[in-house]
Amino acid sequence: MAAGINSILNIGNNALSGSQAALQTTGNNIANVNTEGYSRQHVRFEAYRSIDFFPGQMGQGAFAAEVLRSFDKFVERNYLDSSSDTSYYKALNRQMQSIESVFNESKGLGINNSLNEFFNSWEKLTQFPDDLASRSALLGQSNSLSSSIRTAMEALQKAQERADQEVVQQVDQTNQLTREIAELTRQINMSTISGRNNPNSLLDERDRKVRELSQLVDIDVVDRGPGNYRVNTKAGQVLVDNTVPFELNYGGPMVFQNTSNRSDVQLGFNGKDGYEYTVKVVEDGDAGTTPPTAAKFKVSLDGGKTWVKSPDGKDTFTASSSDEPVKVKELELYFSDPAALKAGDSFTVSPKNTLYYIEPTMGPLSVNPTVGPDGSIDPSRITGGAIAGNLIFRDHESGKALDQLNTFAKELIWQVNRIHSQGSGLTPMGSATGTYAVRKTDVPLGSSASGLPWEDRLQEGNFSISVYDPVTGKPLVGSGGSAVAIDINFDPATESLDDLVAKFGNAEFQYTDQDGQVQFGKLGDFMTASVTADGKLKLEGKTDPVTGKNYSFGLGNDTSGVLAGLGINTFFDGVGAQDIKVRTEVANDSNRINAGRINGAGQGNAGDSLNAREIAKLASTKVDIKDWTGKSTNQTLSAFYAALVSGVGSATAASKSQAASSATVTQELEDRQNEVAGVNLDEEMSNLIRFQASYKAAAKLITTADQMLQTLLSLKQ
Amino acid sequence: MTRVSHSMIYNNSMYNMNKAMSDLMTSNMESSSQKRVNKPSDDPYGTGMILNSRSTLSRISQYKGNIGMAKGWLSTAESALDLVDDQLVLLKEKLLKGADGGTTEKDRAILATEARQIMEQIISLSNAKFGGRYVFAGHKTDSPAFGAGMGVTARDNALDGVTFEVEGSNKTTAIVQFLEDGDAATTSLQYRYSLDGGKTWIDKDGSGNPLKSTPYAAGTAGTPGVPGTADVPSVVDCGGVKVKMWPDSSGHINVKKVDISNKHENANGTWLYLRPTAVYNGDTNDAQASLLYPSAGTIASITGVKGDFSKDIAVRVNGFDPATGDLMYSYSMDNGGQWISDKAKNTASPPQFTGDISLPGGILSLKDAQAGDQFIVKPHRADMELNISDDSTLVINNVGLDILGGNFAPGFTRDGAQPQGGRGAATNLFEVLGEAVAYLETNNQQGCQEALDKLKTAQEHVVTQRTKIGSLVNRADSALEQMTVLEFDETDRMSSVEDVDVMELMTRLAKQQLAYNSVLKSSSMIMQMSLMNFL
Repeated sequence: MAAGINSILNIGNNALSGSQAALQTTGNNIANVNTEGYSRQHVRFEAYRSIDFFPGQMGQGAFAAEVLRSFDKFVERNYLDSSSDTSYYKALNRQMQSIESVFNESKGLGINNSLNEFFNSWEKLTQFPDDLASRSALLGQSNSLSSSIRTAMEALQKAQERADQEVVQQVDQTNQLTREIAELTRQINMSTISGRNNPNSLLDERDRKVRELSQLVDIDVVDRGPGNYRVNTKAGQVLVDNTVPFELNYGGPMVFQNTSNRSDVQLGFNGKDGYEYTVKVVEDGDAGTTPPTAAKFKVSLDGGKTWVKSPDGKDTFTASSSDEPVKVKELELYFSDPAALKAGDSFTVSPKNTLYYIEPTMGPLSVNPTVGPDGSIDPSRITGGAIAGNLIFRDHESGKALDQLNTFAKELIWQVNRIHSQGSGLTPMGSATGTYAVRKTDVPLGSSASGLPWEDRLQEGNFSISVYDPVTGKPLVGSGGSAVAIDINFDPATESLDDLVAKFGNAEFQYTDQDGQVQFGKLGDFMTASVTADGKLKLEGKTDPVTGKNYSFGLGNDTSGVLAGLGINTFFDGVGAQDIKVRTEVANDSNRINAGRINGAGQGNAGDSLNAREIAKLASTKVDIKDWTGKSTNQTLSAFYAALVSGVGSATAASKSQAASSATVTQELEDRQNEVAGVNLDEEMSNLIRFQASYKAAAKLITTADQMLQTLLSLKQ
Repeated sequence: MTRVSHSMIYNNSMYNMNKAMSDLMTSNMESSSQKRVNKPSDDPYGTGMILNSRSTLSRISQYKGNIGMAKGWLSTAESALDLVDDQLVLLKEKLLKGADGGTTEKDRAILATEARQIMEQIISLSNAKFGGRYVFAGHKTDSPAFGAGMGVTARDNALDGVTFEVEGSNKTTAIVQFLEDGDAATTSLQYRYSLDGGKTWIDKDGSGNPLKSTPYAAGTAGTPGVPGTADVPSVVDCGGVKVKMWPDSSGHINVKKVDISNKHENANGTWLYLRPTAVYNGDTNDAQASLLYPSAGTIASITGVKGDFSKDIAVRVNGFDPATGDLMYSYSMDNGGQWISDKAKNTASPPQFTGDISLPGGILSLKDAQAGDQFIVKPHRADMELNISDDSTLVINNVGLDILGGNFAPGFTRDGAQPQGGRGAATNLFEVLGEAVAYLETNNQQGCQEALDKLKTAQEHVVTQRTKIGSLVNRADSALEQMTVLEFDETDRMSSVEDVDVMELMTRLAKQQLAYNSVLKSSSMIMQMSLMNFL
């Protein structure tokens, strides 16, 4: 009996359990009001089919068909994009703030201040050039300047290491997440029965993991239902294919050899840098000639858009083997067989810890984010998320600050040394050892094969030497009674360190000896020049056989820059921000501070302040500062540093405001998702009332059916 | 209608509260430091400006320090010269009396003692020090500018080109008279000397032989007229004091016989007065060495350097103008850091150059220079300069020789020698002083008159030099004023970027406080609302 009391009981029963399910779902919503990533659920009721009977289409009640979650996939997609952006900028900003504090000069302490004090100390020295107190004060200031530069450099490198370590953890986390997502997908696929069984909590869980993943890397999610679920990076690398996870890997520096190379020559390198170097051979080598002709190549730091220029303005380099590597920006490149290279061969050098995607069929593929010199981010790599933020910070932002700080220190060292090497201290020198070593002593000093850090700064020119009597300390004089200045001519393009040493020995001149007789002498009779075991030039006064005392000497008028280049008679030691310091000989003996210059009478006088004044003038002198792109700026050293601070400040400010604005967008999208998926307690309260009422009503229905049954049963007494 | 979930209410309230609080903290930071820019990212462009301003300010304050120091050096010299002037006025009085015909020999002897003391006083004034450094010694600030020494006045114009040197010293002026005509450079000549102003004469040595000078012998590669270190000079021995003589440029030391019966020196043979003077130990700005760095096989030579160079200048011969044959050259004032190109008229023809190259400060004359040759003009520098602004300097020391004179021979460097050969006799104060003492000591009335006339010129010269130093002090004063103005401007500019506008900040703080309060209030209001309150 279709329209019978049993049917009413049945309807009541279903309504009762339906309301109960609804109440339970409401309860679950209330309980999960604060659960992160929980999507509000509701019960979908479905009416039973009515039956074709009499009266026709009598309803059979309803049942709780399935529990659905409210979730907007399209909002979620936008949310994921925005979330990647936000965590990218947040990571970048957090790191930037740490290096910003390195350059924070607002309290008036820092490199700018030290630099000003450094130049002022030279100025003070011009007031009393022979004053030992002023000399010690200058040494103190120079030490504090060089140590603050070194400290800043260390802080930058520490910040890079920190970013590096974070990436290591984040890559682990990414791989963990992709594995979890794949596993969840498997479970979801298993338990999904469309229209009946929705694994809501698994879905919530997976969306939560995907959100976490989006904070690490920028991703696209493709969800076409069970069995058709993919997570890709924005650049297209598959991270999860349905139930299969793929891994990212973070490893050491690497050289990628282009698979279409016509030769199988290997490329090797020394050094470290934040940029990726694309090496492209442009001219065939020829092994048939004697000596074999090495190939020529170009180097690009932005994947081939622009080419690196060497300091002399050329953009092609000659390939060479590992004993004479070619220096390009920060790296020394060499080839296993320079003559066998063919035009068109190319290599990619990633001279840093690199993020790889393990491509299942092709092997590792670099997905390390890169920024070209023009500031554009390479879209074929990871471009968003905290990993990219950290890597962009490490390679680009802090790398830029590091490069500039290095350029600043390098220029400071060179400019000060160039002037300092023209001067003389309070006493003539007994010996002098260079601070800069050459790798090969028999190749021209001006070539990169010499390995001299300043090879590109030398020019053809001369310098002069004055020799001082061991007893009287007075300069040797010539026949006319005027002081002797022995001149040495030097051409870095053709002459090597060995040639220079030979010139020292052979330079001839006339002088008046102790008995007043004019003699022809060689410089080698008064001093020895030699090359130390580690490739540095050493000059030493010889012992006078009569008195047993040593000749001393003074240097100056160096138009070639070779003395500054070899670190003879210089002020600073080191080649950049990481190793700048006052040259040991000067630090140990303030007499070696060259406040004056040897004058036309061969004397270095106590009151001569010319050299100190020239160095002090550097404070307001504009110098040409060249970077590796060949761009040069003409400004004072302190203005260059100010620009560096300003640059770090604006990068920090930019990352901060972008982090804030993208966080607002993310928040906004989160709100949009919450509008759909979030639990509203008031709503749940009214649902509670509503389903309680329907539960009551269903119960009433059963009571009514019961009474009806009672009534029916009481008919027969 | 937007559906509002519980977590939205919570998140938004939290966000708003945090935002309001963080704004408040930023303003509070500005308020506590009174600075608008507390880290580079607060105002990146401003930070650059602030750092540049700070560098400028630091430099300005250093320039002010330099100016103060320059004034110290200059004032020391100025007041020393004032005192020298006072002493000269005193000496003039003595000389006036000495030149008076009525003054007796005894009186002159007293005047002579006083004159000697005045001279010693002036030598000690000439060794004025500032901060322990001698201000009249050029670059040799660590040793006294002047020392007492012996000089020679030859009363015979024929000896003008002869170089004298006195070995040993004597308390009073000695007179030497030659007793034979002849050339002391080649022959041994008889002479006599007096150590008591001409009262008694000595003309024989210990063994009773007549005193005779020794002739001169040139050393190797000597230049006529220029004393070479290897030369053996002609010597006149005056018992403890020796006069050494080097011939003039024609190789002679021509002396004339003195008629000893005639007491006067006018047109009466060769007299030498061995009298006090001061020796300049400092260095000078003149005389430049020039060095030649030839290219291979060159025959170039430097034929002259003229001018007043303040720095070493490197000159590089680049090549020739193909059209005119003129020389194209570069020069560098900073030893090759920067090269400045120029052209010079060629009087020879390429590939050789003969002619004058003009350089900042003077002219370098070359003969047969070729492309690739380099030259360096290397002045004897004596000026100590201080930077008093980015592009101007002030010379703070003095070359005593140029102001007070004295004996000095550049390049004549043997120890113990007192080189002869001061400059500009009429303005050479110490030589004039020495002569004044000599004439007073030797009771020479006419000599006193001559010395008085010379002294007037010398005194004028000292006063002129003093005025020059005074004008440098004035320049320092005006530079200081200029720096003070610059400092004020720069401070003002920096402040406008770096410092907070207090009024604006306070208004902002009040506004942010209000915002924070209202966020708290509205949040607590919304969070308390719930349907449950009504069930």
